[in-house]
Amino acid sequence: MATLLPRVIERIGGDRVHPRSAAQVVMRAGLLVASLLMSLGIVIRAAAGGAAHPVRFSQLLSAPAPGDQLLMAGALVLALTPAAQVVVVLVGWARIRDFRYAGVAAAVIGMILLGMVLGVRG
Amino acid sequence: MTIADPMLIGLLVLGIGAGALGALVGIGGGVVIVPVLLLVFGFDVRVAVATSLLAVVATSVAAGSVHLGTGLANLRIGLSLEVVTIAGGIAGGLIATSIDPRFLSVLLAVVLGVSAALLLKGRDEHGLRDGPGDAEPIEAHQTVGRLAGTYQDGHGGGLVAYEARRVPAGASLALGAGALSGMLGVGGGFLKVPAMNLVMQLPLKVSAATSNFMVGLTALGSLFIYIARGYFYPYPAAPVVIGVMLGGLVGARLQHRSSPNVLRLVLSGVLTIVAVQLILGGAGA
Repeated sequence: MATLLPRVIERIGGDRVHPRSAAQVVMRAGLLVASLLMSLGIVIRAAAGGAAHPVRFSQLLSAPAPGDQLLMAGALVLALTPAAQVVVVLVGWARIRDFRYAGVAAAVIGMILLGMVLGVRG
Repeated sequence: MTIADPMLIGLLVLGIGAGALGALVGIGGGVVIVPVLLLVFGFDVRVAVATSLLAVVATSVAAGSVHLGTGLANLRIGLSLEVVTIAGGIAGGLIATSIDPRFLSVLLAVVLGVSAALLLKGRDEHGLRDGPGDAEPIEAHQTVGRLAGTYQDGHGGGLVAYEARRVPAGASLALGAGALSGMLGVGGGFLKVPAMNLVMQLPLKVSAATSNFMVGLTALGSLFIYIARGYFYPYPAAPVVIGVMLGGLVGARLQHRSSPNVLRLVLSGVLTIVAVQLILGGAGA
């Protein structure tokens, strides 16, 4: 993984490293996957009818209504897309030896993880 | 709700409108979504906030996939501010899910009114330039370790150079923006754009695009808290978010060609209308 990711970034960016364009690819992929999952989920959930329910992390595998799992999967893919984008930017900066801002990007990832831990613990 | 339910269509339309407007004025669209879900659709304020937070992520990602290509967003500035902004977002999410929801509605109205006034007082973008078209192109390695950059002005003004000033002051405002974002489900762009433009002296277009890049991350930090505490309803959220994605792509393409002063006026007008409606809605309830 450690060697694959920079290679992917280089491939995406052409002969020079372009963290920006690699981040764009991540964003478009995230948008596409999330919108497909959610669109399908809306159709299934709407066909099933019934009242809307909240879905917590603990209910990801046993959601109250059909389609809810697809909707949650889409929501989580979308939510994690900006985080994936920061990872790509981090690798890009490390490659151009901008360690100061690679560290800043790592700190942002750390804060996101903290939010997840606090959230899951409720 | 069924597939032909007016509510389902309404949520989709709300998303498209909020997404286009949000991308145009450099905010996540949450300032439109939360009040509309609250006042028109009758959602609990915390459910409206959770729905909006995911929509804010969607707007940010959809518009960012266009902005990053134009080179307007400065990722070094964005991520530097984001370290403190996410901390504020997490704290905001924890606070909002523990206090009286009526307090959140009042806070939202106040915040919208203040940010509308701030934007009307805003400085003209041309006053911040080093002179149109006199900057040399900067390669990525030249900005290593610096909060600086250049961007191509869409109005034919040539290359504009900028460097961030008063970063600690800007970061303090970004922390507050994060907390409000986590509490109110708004991206916080309404505070971050003036903070970057007026305090850090970055061009408005760079501020708007950078803020747009940041708001998705900020929203992500607090969204998990709302999901864990049972305030995230995936079904009403999904149509809003799908709409926001469509609207965001349209809005971001228009932004590069639009005038900053017109954007400022539009944003200010929208915020004022929403604040008044929130207060009227609160009084009528």
